[in-house]
Amino acid sequence: MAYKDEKVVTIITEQVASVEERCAGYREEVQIALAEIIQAERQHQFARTNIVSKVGDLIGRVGTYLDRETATKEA
Amino acid sequence: MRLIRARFDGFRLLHNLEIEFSTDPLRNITVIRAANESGKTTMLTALQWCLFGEEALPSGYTPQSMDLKRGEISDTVGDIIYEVTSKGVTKRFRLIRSLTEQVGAGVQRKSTTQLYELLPTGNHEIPNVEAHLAVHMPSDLREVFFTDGDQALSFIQGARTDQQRRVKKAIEQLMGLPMLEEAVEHVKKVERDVRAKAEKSSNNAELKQTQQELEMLETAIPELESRLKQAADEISNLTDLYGKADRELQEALKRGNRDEIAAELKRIQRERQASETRIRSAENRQAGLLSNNVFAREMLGSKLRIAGNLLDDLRKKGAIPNKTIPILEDRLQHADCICGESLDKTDPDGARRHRHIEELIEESRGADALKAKVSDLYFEGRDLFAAGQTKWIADYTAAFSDRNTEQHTYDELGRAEANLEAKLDKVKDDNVQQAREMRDTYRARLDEKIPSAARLEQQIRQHRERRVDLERKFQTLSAREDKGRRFNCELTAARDIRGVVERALEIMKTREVHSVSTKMNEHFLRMIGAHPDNALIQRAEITSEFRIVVFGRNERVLDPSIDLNGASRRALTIAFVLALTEVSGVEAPNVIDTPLGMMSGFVKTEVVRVASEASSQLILFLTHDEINGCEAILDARAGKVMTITNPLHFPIVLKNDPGTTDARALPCDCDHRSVCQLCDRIASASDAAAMEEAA
Repeated sequence: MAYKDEKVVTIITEQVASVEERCAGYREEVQIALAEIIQAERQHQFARTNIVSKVGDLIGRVGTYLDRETATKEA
Repeated sequence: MRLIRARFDGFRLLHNLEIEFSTDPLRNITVIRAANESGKTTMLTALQWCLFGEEALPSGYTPQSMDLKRGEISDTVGDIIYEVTSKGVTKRFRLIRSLTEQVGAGVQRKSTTQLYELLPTGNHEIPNVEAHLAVHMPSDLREVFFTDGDQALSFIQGARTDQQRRVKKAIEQLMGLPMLEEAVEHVKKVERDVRAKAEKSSNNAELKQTQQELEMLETAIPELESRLKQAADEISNLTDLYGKADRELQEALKRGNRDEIAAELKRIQRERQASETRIRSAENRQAGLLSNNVFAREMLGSKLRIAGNLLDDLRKKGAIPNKTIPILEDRLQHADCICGESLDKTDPDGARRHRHIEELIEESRGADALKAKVSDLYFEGRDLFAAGQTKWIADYTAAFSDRNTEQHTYDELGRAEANLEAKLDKVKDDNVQQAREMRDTYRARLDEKIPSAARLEQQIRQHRERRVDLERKFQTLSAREDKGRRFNCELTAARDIRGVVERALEIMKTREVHSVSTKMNEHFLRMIGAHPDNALIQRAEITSEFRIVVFGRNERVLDPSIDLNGASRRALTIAFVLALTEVSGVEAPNVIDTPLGMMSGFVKTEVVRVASEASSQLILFLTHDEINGCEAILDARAGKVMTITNPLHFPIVLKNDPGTTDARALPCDCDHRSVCQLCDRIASASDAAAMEEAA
């Protein structure tokens, strides 16, 4: 692939550090989701996909994690 | 992407022409040496056509062979082998693009492509070729990686807003900013979807109203942002136009107001006429001095004094004045002579005496003419013969000087008149007025636009703040619902993810642009050999408005299109392209056609050196003149060199008959230092004359 997304991913990783750790492992979940979103966005550039649905799934995954972890903590 | 080999057939001058590219990282330059009109630009176009298709061809361009006649069938083929490394794995591909057309048919057909992955087990054909090609070498990057010395100048030349747009687009594309912008939009869409789901599953009216208001804001904010962007573009454009109009006004003012020039011309014309009159008067005065007695006395003084003495002698002898004839004639009127004798004609003696006097008168008449003249000369020329000094020389000197001075004044006035007439011709009617009106119009429009843009900014800020409040309110209300907690967690995750991407985007726009700017500056200063302490050019920079500017001594801002010489302009744009490709990390060949035009010596060598160091693969199309002087750096860094020759250059430019008159570029293995029977050229017109003479 001609584009090198390492730079984008590096900057995103730096920025994830400033995200509030809403529950244990939340930041890591966000970081993984973001890396997958970037990959999906890049693929979408070259071969059209239902990108909003993919991004929705990835966000949903982080949301579910947050819901589960905070619910466990509250319980 | 690394190019391995390319072959073209039936593409204009290119027939069965194969090029091998250097893949040696230490000697990464491939040089294609060719004179003008030998296929360099055609080869650059052919490479782009093969990799990117018809969109890479200039408008109206056809790749058909030059020797084909109307109605004949043209078969064009491009065949490229390249490598792509992704995640540490290198794969080799072969791309074949073909096009069959009828010459002069007028309808441009679309080429077909085949792509193969070259495997040890054989070639594996890949479907959806264009999609794969877009991954290997996106067409967005074409204009940065495939360029020529002139085209690259568009980053610093032309209308300022166009320059900025080109620089911005090139940076954004290579840095992948459009992808991040799209990602933000997609996350926003997911947020809206989640809120819509939450709202649907609830009966809370306030939640619904909050959602509706949020939806409205979600529509309004991008619209306002788009209007703000448009306003910012207009302000930038108007600022550019205002600056230009102001410069034109200053120029017009320097040239002068037409009415003022016309009035001045009239004044000068009047003065010239008066001067002409004064010259005539001085001439008359001078002529008068050359025709009066004083002049004669001044010129002939000593001679005249001798003549005066002679005349005085004659006077003393009674020869002057000459009165004989009048006295005798007077006597004849009387009855007696002065001696007392009768002159009465009735008296015989008197009559005899009367006749004698008449005879005397007649005899004297001949000698008397001369005497009369001498007398006249004596009496009339008394002043001339008088001794003493005259002021004639002083008078004449003064008259001569006055005439010269006046003539000089006259000449000056004539020149001033001609100058003013020329100025008047250049100054169009109401030029100053027009320039002032234009400038004021742009100023007025700017004065309108700037507050309007500020209002838009404020609106956007207020909308965004309102959105944050509403989002919080929505989450608070949603939390009270059954499934609210689940939706809220998703919304929180979406907001956190969007925030990260938005901040990353902002950082890419500032920090990475700064990195490109710093790298460009390093390359540029190295290329032009600028010493940081005493060079005229101190540094180059990409501003936050995406404009490439150069700083001279004392931090003086220089406009590259005006203040830099041709070689430095080219070096700056090449430095920008190299910095951009380097910082982006995109691996692709830098292919540059005639990059070294207008350069010589140090700059030429350094441009090649820096370009080689900053590129993963560098392909240069160079003329013989461009190579001249940078052979040593090519010895060190060029891994592959070939020469192509246009046989139609014989016998004017080529020394030897290539044996064909076909319009086709002929390759040979000659490098940047060698020549063969085919590519040996006559260096100059004088060489051609010498050869002709020798023949």
